[in-house]
Amino acid sequence: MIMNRRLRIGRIILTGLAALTVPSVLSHAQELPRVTFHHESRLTTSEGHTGLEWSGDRDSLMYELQSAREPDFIDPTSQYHGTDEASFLSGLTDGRYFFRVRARPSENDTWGPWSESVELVCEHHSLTFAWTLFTSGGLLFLFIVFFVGLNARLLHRFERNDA
Amino acid sequence: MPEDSTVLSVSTGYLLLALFGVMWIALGIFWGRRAKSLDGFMVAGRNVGLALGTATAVATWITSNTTMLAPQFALQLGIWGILAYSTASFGLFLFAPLAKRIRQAMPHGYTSVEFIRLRYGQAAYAVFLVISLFYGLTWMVSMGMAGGILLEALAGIPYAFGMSAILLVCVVYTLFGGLYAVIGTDFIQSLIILVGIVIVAVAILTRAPLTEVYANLQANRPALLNVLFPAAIMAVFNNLLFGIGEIFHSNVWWSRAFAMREGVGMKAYLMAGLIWLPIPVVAGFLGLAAPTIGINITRPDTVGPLVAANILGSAGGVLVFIVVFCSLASSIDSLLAATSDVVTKEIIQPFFLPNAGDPQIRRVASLVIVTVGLITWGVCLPKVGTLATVLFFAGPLVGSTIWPIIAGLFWKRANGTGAVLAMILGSAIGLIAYFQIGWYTASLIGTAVSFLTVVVTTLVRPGAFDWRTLAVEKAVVQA
Repeated sequence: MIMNRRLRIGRIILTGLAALTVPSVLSHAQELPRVTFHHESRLTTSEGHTGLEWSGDRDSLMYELQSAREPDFIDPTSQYHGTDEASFLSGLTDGRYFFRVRARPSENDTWGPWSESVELVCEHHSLTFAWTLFTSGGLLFLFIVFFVGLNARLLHRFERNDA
Repeated sequence: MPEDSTVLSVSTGYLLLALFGVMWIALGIFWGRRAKSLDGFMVAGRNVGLALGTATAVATWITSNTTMLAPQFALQLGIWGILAYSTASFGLFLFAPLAKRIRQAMPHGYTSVEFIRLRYGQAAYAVFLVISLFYGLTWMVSMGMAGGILLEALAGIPYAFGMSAILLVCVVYTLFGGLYAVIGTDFIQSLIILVGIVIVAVAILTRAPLTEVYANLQANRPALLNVLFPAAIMAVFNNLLFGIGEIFHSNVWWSRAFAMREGVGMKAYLMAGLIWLPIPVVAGFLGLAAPTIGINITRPDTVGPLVAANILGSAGGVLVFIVVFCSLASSIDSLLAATSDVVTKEIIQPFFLPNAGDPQIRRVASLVIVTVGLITWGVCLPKVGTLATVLFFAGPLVGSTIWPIIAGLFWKRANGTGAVLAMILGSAIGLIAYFQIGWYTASLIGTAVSFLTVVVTTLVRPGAFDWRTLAVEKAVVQA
């Protein structure tokens, strides 16, 4: 009898505690900031650089941007940590890159969930094409130098003869 | 891991803006007090000497693009990017003999558009005028945007306010002093810029030694050190030709050729090229050093000022502010004056005021400066694209004018039909390349098409131009 009474009291206390703590935990979970990228989920570049932009669901957030070469972020690299909502990356070699970002309020250390990841496919132009344009540009430049130099010299010679 | 960048307080930014704004306006009015006549206002009395001539060419070519776009090139294209940007000095070197030729051939000339009209006729005039005005506006917009972006990045001054303030200052002193004011302020601005660049160069090498920069790039951004970086390889001659096209066709440079005393132009442009050459190398290194210093770059076109300001602290922020403000002002004022000359002399006078005297044309030129400033402000306001995307859109257009200009100056067989076709085909095919491949191919392809068109049309239908036509005094277009 006494046992049953104690159990009942214990249950009431536990229920009361749960009633107090669960909403608090839930509201805390709701307070964690969420971040979204302002891009399509797949980007491409043939120049080895890209700009990433994101925003949180409220003001005054700290962000962390991570990159990885695999979609499951097994070996991620932290690219940026701070309050900016963009980052410019360059010097990338051919391959696939994945990015994700998360945020925390600036007054506490609890990070929100990672954003949906963005995939960047880097495929540089063909070198043959690049060298073809380089050579064409070089020849064009030499033609200009030759044409201007030769004619300026001829004019100078005529002037001296006239004088 | 990069950290955030904060440099100057908003109040410091407003203070510097007010100080330099008042200073440039006062100096502009002081230097421009002799700009009473039309020749004084438009071509500074045709009596500019070597020191002022060299300084104005250097200051004008050190644009916001040198201080902001050269680091962006380095950040995006690496070592090749720095090389590509510094090739723009060849535009000054190659314009040196052209300046001499222009001054001799057109002793009474005012604009590059006037040359095309006299040399190739009305159709070429129309096409060249469109290209020239489009380029002038694009260049000014890129610099107005740069001013707004810089003030926002360095001091948190709202973009629209900063951009408007810089444009207003330049419009006011150009309005009062014309080319006299432009060249005078350019002299002081070039000195400030050169001193500032030297200080930044020393500071950057102290804070980010070459070995550290190399190691960081090798680990995190390896393509920037790669000799076989395709986009960067393509950019080298594209940028060189873009720079040549900019200088060869733009009235900014022609007006200075007309303004310099006989015999000065060639030396002034050669010296200006030599002085300018190392500046994008120093500025470009800021872009390469950014990852080593650990600054997060949100927009690539702000990397130079942000890195310099972070290295030098708040004093550096002030220095960067002053240097970039000088480089912006020295180019915006030149463009306002040169564009106003073209619109006044080549559109308004022949079509609307054919009988107007010099004093009336002088007043019209002032009104045009205000109007051009307002149009630039309106286009800058929405902040479209990065500096590179805005500016390089004009690349194929100016590239297509190189051969019509040089053939027109030296080859009497070059003809108007060829010039028109060269500019239209070069621009069109270059723009297709811009959209289909990338901005780093557009000028090169535009110039190549234009070159082939000029050569083929000249060989197929050779003309016989009389050079004396160019020397005619007060020649106006027939409306």
